[in-house]
Amino acid sequence: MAAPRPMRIFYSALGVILVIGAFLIVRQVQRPGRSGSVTQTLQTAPLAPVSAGSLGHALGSDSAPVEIVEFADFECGACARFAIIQFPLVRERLIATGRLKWRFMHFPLQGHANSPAAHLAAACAGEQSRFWEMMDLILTRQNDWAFERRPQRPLRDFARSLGLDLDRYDSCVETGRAQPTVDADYAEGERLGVNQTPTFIVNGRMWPDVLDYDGVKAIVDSLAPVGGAATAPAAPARR
Amino acid sequence: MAVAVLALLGLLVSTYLLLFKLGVLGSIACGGSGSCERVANSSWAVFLGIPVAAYGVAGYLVLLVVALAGLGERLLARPEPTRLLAVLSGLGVAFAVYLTYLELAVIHAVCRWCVVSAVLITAICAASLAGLRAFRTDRAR
Repeated sequence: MAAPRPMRIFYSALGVILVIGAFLIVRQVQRPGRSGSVTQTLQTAPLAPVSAGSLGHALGSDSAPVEIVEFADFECGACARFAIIQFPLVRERLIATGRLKWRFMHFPLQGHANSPAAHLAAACAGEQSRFWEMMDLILTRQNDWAFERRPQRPLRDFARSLGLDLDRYDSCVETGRAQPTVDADYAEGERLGVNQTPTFIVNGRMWPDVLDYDGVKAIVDSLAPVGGAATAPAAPARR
Repeated sequence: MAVAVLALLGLLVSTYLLLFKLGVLGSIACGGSGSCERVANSSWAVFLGIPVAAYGVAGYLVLLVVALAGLGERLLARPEPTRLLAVLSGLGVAFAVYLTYLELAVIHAVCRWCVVSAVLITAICAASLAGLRAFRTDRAR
């Protein structure tokens, strides 16, 4: 038996809501992204071949088809926002799945008084293979040290909370043992013409904009489609 | 009828959040604040090993089915479906209160889609309670 007219109108309205909602969701799932423009952008972007060797702190598989190098400053707000909001997704969905290799390069900007101490602290944590955890703390709790007269104290608290060997950490900070790591990254940035943070270099080409997760995903999808051959454009020789 | 419409909207919102959590959606429309990502990527976005959004999808689906069943000819005059809706949506409101507390006091970020869902489940609960009251008034006459 057919439903009475008011009920038919009601069910039709429900159907319309369902179709519109499903359409909006599907449209977002199938959003073309920026794959088309990625290749174009990279082809016209200036070359920025990062030196081979042990510069920076790397995360991800060496065989990943795409490498992004990030030059960042720990006092920079945009760097913190990227690290807190976007990077966890990049790490979980692209780096952990072997599609992307990430390299962080120290680039403490002039005028950021506490930044050098934070970069040294992170490099010292890196000596104990805990760079990424220290970086997370430094950026998520930027306000705890960036405006302090003595940033070394909160930075040391971060090292303690990570369970680092504090004697080793202290001697690293006091002697500046890890400083050459920071300086080498900075010099590399200067050589490549980095003048702001965060700056991203995609497969050896300077990306002209700040990236978010969608942007990084579009780059990876474009250069190394899932199930397809990697098509990295015009990448200069790199390790 | 109102409960069915609200439950359908809730189902769409929680499906959207679940698809983001599962990585099907690259990003979430959140006004560029990053609050939704922060909430969805926090450790509290998973409850007993299952994404919180999945509870939302399941909950709203059940509410929608019960609401539609209650509109059928056989059950239209009976209070049981409305009672069930009131109990289920009451549990949903309690869960929404807990999640909102986490957002405000622990994560320190408010996801606007979670707010929409909290408003929807509260409205469903209010509509169900109003329906129950209407049943009692009818019976009293």
